[in-house]
Amino acid sequence: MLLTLKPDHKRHVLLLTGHTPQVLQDFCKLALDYLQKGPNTKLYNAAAQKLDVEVSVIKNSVEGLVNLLIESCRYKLNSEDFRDSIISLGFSEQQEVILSKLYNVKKDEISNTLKDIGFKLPEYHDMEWRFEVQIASRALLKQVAPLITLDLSIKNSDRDENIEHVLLQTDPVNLSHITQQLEEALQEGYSQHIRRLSRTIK
Amino acid sequence: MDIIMELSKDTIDGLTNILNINIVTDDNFLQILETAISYIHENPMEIKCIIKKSDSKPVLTRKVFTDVVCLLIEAARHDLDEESLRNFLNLVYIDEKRVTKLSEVYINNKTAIQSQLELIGNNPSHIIDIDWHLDYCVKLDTCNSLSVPLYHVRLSTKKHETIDHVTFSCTIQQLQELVFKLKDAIRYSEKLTNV
Repeated sequence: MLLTLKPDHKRHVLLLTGHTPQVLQDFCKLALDYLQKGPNTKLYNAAAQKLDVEVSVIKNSVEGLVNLLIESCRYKLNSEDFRDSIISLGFSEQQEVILSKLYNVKKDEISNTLKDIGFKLPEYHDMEWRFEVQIASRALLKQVAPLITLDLSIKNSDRDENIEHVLLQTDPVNLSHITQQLEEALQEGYSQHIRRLSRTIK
Repeated sequence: MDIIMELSKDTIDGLTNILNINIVTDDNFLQILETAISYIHENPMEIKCIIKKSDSKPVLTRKVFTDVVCLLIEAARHDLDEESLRNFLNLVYIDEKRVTKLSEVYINNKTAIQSQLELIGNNPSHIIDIDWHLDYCVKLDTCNSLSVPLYHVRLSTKKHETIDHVTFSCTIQQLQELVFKLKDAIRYSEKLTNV
């Protein structure tokens, strides 16, 4: 499959076609830096001075390149598809080799990040338990009540490491019931039904 | 008597009246017991109890009822057996039939009252049920094809009569880990109770 770019994006990507392989390599480095640390105006200023162009041109080129990588990962382009897309955009073969190398190196990392991005529901993080026996309280002087206290850690968002601890208690009967239900859930996850579904969707 | 129950003089006086056949009729006595027990069991917000007195003196319905509830709860709190309760009641008023009836009602409901008492306190919320559903993630706006099963778990918890929920989602691996840990806890508690 060939990648179809939005007009604005295409315009920004095409800014890169006019550069020598050496300069394109430098743009690849800027794109890598963007992927790891985010935009860096200082570097763009230096590059703009070097190439004698507006800073916005450098910024658009870098962002265009980053977006090209992201879109390619989003559609899971293999190396051949990526190469064909690059050539059809108007890059030379020499330039294509540089861009393909960048794509092949970063594709797994970008794909994994894309899967993990976006809104998140509170997610299970960890659970610790403690077995206790309540032997007396103000309301009941003599008692033997086995209790299991659970400290459930729930991760609320990926961005800030915000882990919420929920302290819960239960008795052995309820604990068995909960575990049994979750085991059933787990079996359902490994069932033929879900395997068939995953085959159909793929 | 070796166990001193924390009952006020007022309550003890009330009990003396309730146990007195000349003040409260047999029918009313049984009705009081029944209402008191159902109150402890179900914890209704409103006490619906109509007690007629055998003579024309007005009686405070709620007072009569409260005295019985206090007695039953205090006895259960101290884990009295039937004999100890009888001894205590005999000190208050001597009417063999009523003392026997009251002790009988107490001993039949002692475990239930104690389980209610066990729940009083500032313990963390108690898990009472669980719900789950399994989703299959097919596509994200950032990722065109994705095939990941995702569980959504909702624990129902109860604290002071209030039902609440704790929800979280987890992958199949995370659920596996959670189940392992829970089974570990079960194994341990079973081992302890078998000792």
